[in-house]
Amino acid sequence: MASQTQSSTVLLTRLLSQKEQSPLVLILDTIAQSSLYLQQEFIHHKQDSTSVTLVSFETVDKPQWADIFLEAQDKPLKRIIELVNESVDPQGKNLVIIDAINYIPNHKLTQFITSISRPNITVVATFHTSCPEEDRSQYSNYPSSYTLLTYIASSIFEVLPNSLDDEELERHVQEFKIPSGLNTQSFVLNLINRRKSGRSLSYKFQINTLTHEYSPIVDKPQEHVDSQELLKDLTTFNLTTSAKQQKARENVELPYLDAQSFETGGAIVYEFEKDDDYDEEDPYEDPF
Amino acid sequence: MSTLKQDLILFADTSIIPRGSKVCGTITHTQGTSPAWLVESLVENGLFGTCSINADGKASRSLRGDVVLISLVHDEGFYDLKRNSIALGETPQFHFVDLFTDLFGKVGDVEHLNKTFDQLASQIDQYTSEHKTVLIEGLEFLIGATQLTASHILNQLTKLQRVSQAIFVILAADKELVQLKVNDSSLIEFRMNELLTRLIHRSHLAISLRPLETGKAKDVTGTLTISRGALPFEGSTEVMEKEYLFLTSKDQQTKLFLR
Repeated sequence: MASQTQSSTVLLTRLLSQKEQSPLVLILDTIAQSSLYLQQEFIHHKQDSTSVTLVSFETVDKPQWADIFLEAQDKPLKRIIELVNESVDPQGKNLVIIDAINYIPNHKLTQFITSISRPNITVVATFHTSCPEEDRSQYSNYPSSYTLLTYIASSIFEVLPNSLDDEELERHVQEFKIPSGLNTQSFVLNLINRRKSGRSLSYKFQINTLTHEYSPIVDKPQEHVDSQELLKDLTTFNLTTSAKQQKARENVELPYLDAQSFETGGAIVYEFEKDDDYDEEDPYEDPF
Repeated sequence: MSTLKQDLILFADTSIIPRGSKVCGTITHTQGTSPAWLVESLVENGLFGTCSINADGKASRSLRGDVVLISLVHDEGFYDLKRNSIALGETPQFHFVDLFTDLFGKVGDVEHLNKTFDQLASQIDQYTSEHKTVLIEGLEFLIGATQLTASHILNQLTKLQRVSQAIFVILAADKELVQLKVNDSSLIEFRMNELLTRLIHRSHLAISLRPLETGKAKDVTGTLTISRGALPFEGSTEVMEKEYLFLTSKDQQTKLFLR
């Protein structure tokens, strides 16, 4: 167990520092927990030589950490692809951050991703899962952007707020009455990393971007609770069963068990009882 | 409920509109919780740095920035911009942009929308003060009445964000407007939901004005929730998350009570 948690943290750090090859990193966020805190971890861990390009659909001003700031709003997709390809360093390592990939139309997503992908580029794209996505598509069975991106991404980082279990909180978010305590520097991260072999690794972390601490969350297997323990002292009545009673209960043969032991299906088990009026000469009275 | 009057504070440095960092805020409201008093307070704070509903409301005032109030649902007469015998509306740094009159002529389609907002951005850019605050309300009207999409509208907001230090977008978020049943982009609910979600992803601050969930009360008009938006600040500016109860009386006076 210890080695598993250790390796999960190592994998996360390697992914954040782009030491682990992952051509498309997809970050899934909502209005309850923004991906921008996690995005900062990629910037924090990147090597100095890595060039950072921000493809902006939402960001208004160039952030300090971005080497190249590309405004993609209002630009045709072809132009965005050209701009990205012109801006990246062909020799060195590149980190291309897309602040909201939701703005790329569904039917052009794969074209966009494949056009900017190179061996020396790591694309980190954020997809806002709370943004509605229309069902209508040119092709009736074409997958949604979410399905498509989660299928082609080599790593998926899903950020979740620490406290959104409560149904009421979730309802408030859906009604855009954002409760306090969300969008913080401390959040839960679900990581899925797909190996070249096809194996998929899945981990859960508690992330603190202020201290850069990542603690793996290991889901404990549910402990078996003895039903007798639960019933004890619940009421003034004795609801528990003694060992003797339990043994007797186990030995009780349930009715119709005989019917289940037949190897051929559809057989009728009929046992005559003393009050049955059976006439041997009447062919219609034959119960079989 | 406490009878102690509480101050309206949006940021940890006890300010309403902070200096030193750019701010984008989304204010959502529903029927019955009109944001007019909050808009008036933001206008006052943008112009003078004070707020009449706070304890410092009568402090000495000096002009400290331009405020542009753009409305698609009201004309200037709707707002009560008189604060402690000072007519905010007559202050030269206050600019009201009436997009309500001749609405469809100015912002009814993409072409007119682009033109109007380009003009607005260049007008705001020419104001000489160091701090410019933009308040824009009623954008939901465009979603309901025209074919404009969330992207069209957000692109225009970006133009205003570039030339101002603080922008507050005031939108209706009634359940009927935002609750999605079907993901059909021709439905108003879909487009409103899309606009609001994308806007909150661009906002540092989310302010919600809602009626009491427990029903009507004589002494409470609604709740005011202040929370962080999805966009974090780059510097030390921090949103002061809290919830107030507010009461707007018949004489248009608003009182806040910390919850």
